[in-house]
Amino acid sequence: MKAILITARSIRQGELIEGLKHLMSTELNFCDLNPEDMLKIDVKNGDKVVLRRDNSEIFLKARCNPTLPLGLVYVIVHPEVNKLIPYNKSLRGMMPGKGLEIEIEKIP
Amino acid sequence: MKIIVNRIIVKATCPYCGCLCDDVEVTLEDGEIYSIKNACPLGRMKINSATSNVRNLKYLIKSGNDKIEVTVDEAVEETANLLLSADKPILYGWSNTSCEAQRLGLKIAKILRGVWDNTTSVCHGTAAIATAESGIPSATLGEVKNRADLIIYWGSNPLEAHPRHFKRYSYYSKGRFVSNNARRKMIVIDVRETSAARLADKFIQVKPNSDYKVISTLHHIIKFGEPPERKAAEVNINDLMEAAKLIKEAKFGVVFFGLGLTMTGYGYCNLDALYSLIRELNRFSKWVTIPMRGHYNVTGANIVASYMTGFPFAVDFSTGKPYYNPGETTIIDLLYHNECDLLMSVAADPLGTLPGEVVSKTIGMKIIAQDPFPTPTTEAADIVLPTLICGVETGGTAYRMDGVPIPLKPILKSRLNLLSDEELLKKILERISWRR
Amino acid sequence: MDILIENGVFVERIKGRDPIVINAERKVILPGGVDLHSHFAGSKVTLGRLLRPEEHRLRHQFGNSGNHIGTGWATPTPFLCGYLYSKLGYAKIVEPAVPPLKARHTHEEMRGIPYMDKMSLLLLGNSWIIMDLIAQKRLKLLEKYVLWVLWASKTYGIKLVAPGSGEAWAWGKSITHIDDEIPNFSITPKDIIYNLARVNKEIGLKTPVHLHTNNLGSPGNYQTTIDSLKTVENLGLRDGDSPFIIHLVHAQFSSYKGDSWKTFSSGSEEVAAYINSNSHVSFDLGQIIFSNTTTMTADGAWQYNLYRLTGGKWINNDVENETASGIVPYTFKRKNYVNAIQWAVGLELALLVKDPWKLAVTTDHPNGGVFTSYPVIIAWLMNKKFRERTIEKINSKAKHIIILPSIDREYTLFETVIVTRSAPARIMGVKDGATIGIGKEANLAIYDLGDPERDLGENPVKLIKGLSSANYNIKNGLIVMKNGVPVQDFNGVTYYSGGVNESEELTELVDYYFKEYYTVEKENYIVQKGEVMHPVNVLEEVFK
Repeated sequence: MKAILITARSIRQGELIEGLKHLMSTELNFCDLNPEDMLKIDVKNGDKVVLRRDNSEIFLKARCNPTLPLGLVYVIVHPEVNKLIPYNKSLRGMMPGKGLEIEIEKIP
Repeated sequence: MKIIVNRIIVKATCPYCGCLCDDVEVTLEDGEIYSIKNACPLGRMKINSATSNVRNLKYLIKSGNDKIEVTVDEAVEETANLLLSADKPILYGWSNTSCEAQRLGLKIAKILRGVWDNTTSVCHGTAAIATAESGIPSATLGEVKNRADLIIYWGSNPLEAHPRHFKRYSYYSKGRFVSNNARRKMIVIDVRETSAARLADKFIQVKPNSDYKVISTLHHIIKFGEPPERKAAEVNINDLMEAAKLIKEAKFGVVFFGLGLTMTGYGYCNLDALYSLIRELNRFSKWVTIPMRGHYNVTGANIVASYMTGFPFAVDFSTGKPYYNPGETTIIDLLYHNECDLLMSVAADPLGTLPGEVVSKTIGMKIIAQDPFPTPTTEAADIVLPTLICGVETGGTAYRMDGVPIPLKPILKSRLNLLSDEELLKKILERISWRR
Repeated sequence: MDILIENGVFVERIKGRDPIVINAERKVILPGGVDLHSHFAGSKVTLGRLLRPEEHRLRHQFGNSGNHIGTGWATPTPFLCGYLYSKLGYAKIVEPAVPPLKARHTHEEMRGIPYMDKMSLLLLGNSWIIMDLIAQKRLKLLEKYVLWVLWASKTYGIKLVAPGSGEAWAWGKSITHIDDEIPNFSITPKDIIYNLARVNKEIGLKTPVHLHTNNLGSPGNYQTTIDSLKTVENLGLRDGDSPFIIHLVHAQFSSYKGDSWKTFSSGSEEVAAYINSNSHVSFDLGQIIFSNTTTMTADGAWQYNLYRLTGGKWINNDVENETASGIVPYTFKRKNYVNAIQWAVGLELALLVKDPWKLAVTTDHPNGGVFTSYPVIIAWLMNKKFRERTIEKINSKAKHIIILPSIDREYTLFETVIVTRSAPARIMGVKDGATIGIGKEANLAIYDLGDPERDLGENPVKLIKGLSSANYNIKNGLIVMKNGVPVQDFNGVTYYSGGVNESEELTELVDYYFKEYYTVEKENYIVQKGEVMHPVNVLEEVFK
């Protein structure tokens, strides 16, 4: 399924930035989806999904979040997620960390 | 039984986010942290990290596949070697350290004819570009605390990133002319219902990447009293009409904006549009806008670079004089196009925070990483320079998100025999100057 | 004749051996210049830099060895600022607008300015504590607070910028009459001017209150200016070097007649007449130079008006409980009617006021133009023909209504020395720093202005060229600059005033405002001596 990726911060992520980055890949390895989207790609809470863009892909666990709008994937920002972010020449030095079009699907 | 010899309370300036809270109190018993008052979980964690075992403890130089421990002088010598032999080094980071260290970094970059860039380029860089386009109507946070009756957070969730912002400076603060939050209104504008949105009087959900259009639509409504003819699908027009009504009723309004505006859609045009809206609103009443800066001294980095070179970030000295052109002299562009042959990171983690496509280009590059903590960058580095934690183990000056300078204080004496960023950079600068 | 210098001062006889000898035959030797009003450091200057990256490409200065030493036109970076002033033959400069909350920033930049002694003026005209104390008539406590806040910010004197109007601007309003009540504070701008001028005299500051008048920049404001000056007439004169009670800053911007931009005209005759017939007022010019610049002032409401007039860039940055501020790029054009009149007003004031000891040459850098233009102003003052050459090129409507063409006065070289050195030094209370006399601080500038036997005003081009680059700048007895090339590193002192005292009432007062209204702790508001370049307190550090 095509979706829009939004990366953002959280308190826990903030706590881990300074000195505990090695815990991020285990503690923050989930992404939030609207329940309807979860049905669409046939995943339940905790199921593994893959997020893909061009040749990059990352693996996360799905988490149900009914407050999210349809078609949005919300991931707490950490080094792993940045692998999906492309270089964009037209952004005057900025990275397109929010609102990126990606592909998400269930890992069987 | 433990006998406490000496219990003291020290005032601290929190070296975490752009709020730069300076009312934190740390109780020390025999030089160890006993309790921390007035800090949020982020600040608490940062201050406690002084005693964490997860620190860079040794000066390390890569040798084959291993890193070997060296003395500080050997590390400085090798750093100077690499910097001097580089064709075009980039010195990046600077947001988690003092202005004193930032100044030294600029001097080093200038001598080397390298590039000095700051984390601003991937967080609020677009806001700086927009400021140069049209200017920003702003104020210090106390103006919001004392006067604001309408507070808007746009693309920013302070509850997760700036936990004490509400209480100290905005919605829940008490001020002279607005004594409590019953007399304030809050609007949150975001692509999703954030925790802050749940506390707001009005939440407006916008489609991702559509903020520019929403700001323009709002501007149109404010100016002409009705929405533009174009049918806007990116936002509920009734919501926007209601917001416009609240906006026009306000005596003093503020828009706090975060990465939700700076990092999406049309980039700096979002901010240009926002500043333009704020200018328009000043015809009716008083309106200001303040960026929600992330790192505690990222504002300082922009200020120091501005008064040292004229430019706030992405300063390229390769022609012998400062040159600034975001999109050309910014870190991701330089790395992506293989224009730099050495990356020195100070108090930042470029390999952990930059886009994957850019990070992949650093393979094979020489990397020097100066940081108190292990990060993906220190892991990949050819030289690791451990330092004291600025604002916890050593002092300096920092600037809050609104440009108010506040001293950072050493809270406790480090158990580690390390130098501060400032001291270490001074050694490197001396070594480089001497060698040339 | 020989001038002898040893250990930083002028002496009668040199004790050491092998002194450096400078042959200054046929050169003009002057005391180091004093600029008492120039916005060169601090928050608003840096915001100006942020606003205008294009401006920073206008000037890159390289040292003799090819090293880049600084950047910027209207807002030169600190090192370049010190270099340019030194090249111009200056020794002491005053940053006239420091918001107390951001004083640390000003000092951070001032530390980077070499060669110069620095002073700064504290923005107190819209301070809540001051307005509240005046309203409550706690005037003894007001004196203590002023001393404390000067000490806390390590600044030298008091600056009032459109008193009360900054507070009104915090609500998007402005105050146009000095008898109007300030919103939420039951006092008027007049109360602030009077009380702070009185406090200034009582506590013995070395310089008078510096006033940027209400309505600055607007047509018809000369009346507000005269009314403001009248407010303090009955306070008498001050003791010490500087007898004036009030210093009118950049008077040019406050001396306009007319009731709209169309009827805009010069009010210089009225303002000069007032100054001529009263002894309590000094002023500086705020002369405009036809060029592009970046205007910056704590008068936020005026800057908003200027933004509305120009439609260009605008930065606003109000500082909590203390002041407003604004930054707008601007180009003064010869062919613009208003600009042409503004140009004439500055020169008219300088020529109509009889006593040169009452005035100082400034451009209100960078508001009227950059400080490197001072030699041009000197040439205009010394040479009527040179003025006429400029008048020929200005807006033709303006040309016919200004009185400048009818003024024949030409400054002598001696008078120009007064208005660029002695008078500003006296007004600032640092007379000894601009006097060539035994035992005085040895600050000298040596210029080659051509044949000294001839009238120097005769050849303005040569005069401007000569004054623009001193052959030597000697600061505290050291040769710091030779023919525009830095000779050695030198950092001047930073003068400040004020002090602390034990008063419980004062502590209680200040603590209350920090607890309730400020967003920083009191201890972090206080600038420590260690953060200031060579601090020198001209008053007692502790007072009773």
